[in-house]
Amino acid sequence: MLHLTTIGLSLLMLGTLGAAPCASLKNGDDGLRFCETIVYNGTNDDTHSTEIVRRDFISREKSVYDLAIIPPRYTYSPAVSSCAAVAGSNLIGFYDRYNEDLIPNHKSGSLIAGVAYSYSSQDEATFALAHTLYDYMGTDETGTTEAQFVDGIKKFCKEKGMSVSTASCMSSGSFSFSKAKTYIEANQPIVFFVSGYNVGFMAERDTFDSIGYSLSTANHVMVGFGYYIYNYVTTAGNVTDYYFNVASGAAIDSAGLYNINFKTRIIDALAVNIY
Amino acid sequence: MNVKRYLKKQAKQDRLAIMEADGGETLRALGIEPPKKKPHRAAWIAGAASLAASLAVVLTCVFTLYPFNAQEEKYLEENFVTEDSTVEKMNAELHDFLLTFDETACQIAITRTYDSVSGEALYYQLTINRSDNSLYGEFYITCNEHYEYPNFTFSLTPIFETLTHYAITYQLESTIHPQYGFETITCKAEIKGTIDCVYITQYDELILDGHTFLDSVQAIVHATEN
Repeated sequence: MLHLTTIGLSLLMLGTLGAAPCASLKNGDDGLRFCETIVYNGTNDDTHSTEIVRRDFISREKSVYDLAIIPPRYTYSPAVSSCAAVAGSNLIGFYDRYNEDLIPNHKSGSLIAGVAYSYSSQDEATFALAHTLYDYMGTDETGTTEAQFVDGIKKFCKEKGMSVSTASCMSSGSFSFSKAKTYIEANQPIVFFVSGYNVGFMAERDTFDSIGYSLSTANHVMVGFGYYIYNYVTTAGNVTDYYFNVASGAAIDSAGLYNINFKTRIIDALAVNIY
Repeated sequence: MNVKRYLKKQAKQDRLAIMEADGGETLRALGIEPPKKKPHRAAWIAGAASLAASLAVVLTCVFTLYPFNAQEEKYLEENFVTEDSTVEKMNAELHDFLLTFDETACQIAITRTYDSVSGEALYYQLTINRSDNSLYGEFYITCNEHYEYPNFTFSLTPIFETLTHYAITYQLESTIHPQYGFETITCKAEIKGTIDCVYITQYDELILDGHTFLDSVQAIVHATEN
C-alpha cells in the first residue's frame, strides 16, 4: 500500500510539474503582467512527501543574506485554499516592523543584541489579519489568483494609509535569481507563485551537506525573506544551489530553504515594497 | 498391426467422446465400463494459474478498498472547526501530557480543532515565542485516540532518545548564522503518549545562554501521572 501511495503521489507530482505555467496573461494596473488563469489554492495541510538530497564536496562556500534572523512565519489559515491570505499575512507582518499600525495589537518583534531582528509569532491579531486578507483578496474554496493577491494587499495597505509597489523578478518568462537577490538586498521580500514547492532542512557536515525536503504539488504562494547560495567544488565539477529562506505558510515546515531548481516551477515572483 | 492399433486408439477416443457427452451413461447402458479420464498436466497448470490470478485480483481489491485506516475516516475534514483556545483548556483535554509555559516570558497563541459532528476535540495548535524573540516554536498536539496527524515526517534521519518521563524522536541542526554570528538551532520532534501525541513541527532558537533543545522541551512538556 505504501508503495502504491508513493507511486500515486509521484505520478501526481509529475502531472503537476509538467503543466503549462500560464495559459493567459493580463496587464495589471502598474503594467505588470499577471497570470490570470492559475488559482493558488494551497492549504496548510497539503499532502507532503519527503526526499533527502546529499551533496558531497571537496569545498563549500556560501553566501547568505537574511532580512531577519527569525522572519515572520505565520501559518494560521482562515479556510481551505487560503495560502495567498497566509502569504499576505507574512508579507504584512514583515512591514509591521516599520509601521506597527499595520497589525494593531501586535508587536512585530525585537532586535537581538542590536544586530539581528527576530519576529514575533502569530497571535490573535495576525489571525484577524489573515481573515481580512482572505476577504480582501476575494478568496474562496477554489483559491486566489495572483491579481487577487495583489489587489487584496493594495486594498489593505491603502486603508492603513500605505502604498504598495511590486516588481517582477522574472526575465523572459523565467525566474531571475539575480533580480530577486537585488530586491532582497533592498529589504524587499519576494512573493513566490509556484506550482509544486519544496521546503528544505539543511544539515551541514564537513564533507557533505544533507538537505531533507518536504515536497508538495500544490499551486502555492509563499514569501522569501532571504537568499542562500551554496557553491560546491565536487569531484565532478562545480555545483551551485540557489535557495530562498521562506515562510511557506504550511503547518509543517512553516519555514526553511526553498530550492528554486528542485521539483518546483516558479510561475511568477514579485518583490513587494510597502511604504 | 498399424491398422489394429489405429482402430483401438480410435475406439478409445470415441468412448471418451461419448462419455464426455453424457457422463458415461450410454457406455454403461451398453455394458461397457467408461475409461478413466486422466487429468492433463496442462489443465493443472492452467487451473493453478487461473486460481492465482483470481486470488491476486481479490486480494488487490481487498487491500485497496477495505478501510484498514477506518480510524482516520471517523472524522471528515470538512467537519473540522478551529477556534481560539487557552493552555488551561488544552491541558484539561490532554490525557498523557501537561504543557506549561512561563507566560511572563513567552507569548502563546493557541487554537483548538474539533469535529463539529461529534463535538470531540481532535488537536491543538500552539505557537510560542519567547518575549525576547530568541525562541520560536510550533506545537501540534493530538488528543484523540481516533485522530492521527497525517502529515508529520522527518526530512532527515531522526534521533531517538529516552528522557526521564518520556521518549522523544527528533531531528536537530545547529549552525552559526553566517550573517549575524549567532548559534541557531532548528528542530522537529515527536513525543508519543498512549493517546496524545506532541509534534514539534517547527522550532528555531538562538542559543544565547547555553541551554539545549531537550532542556527547553522538558521545561514545556511534562508527562502526567496516570
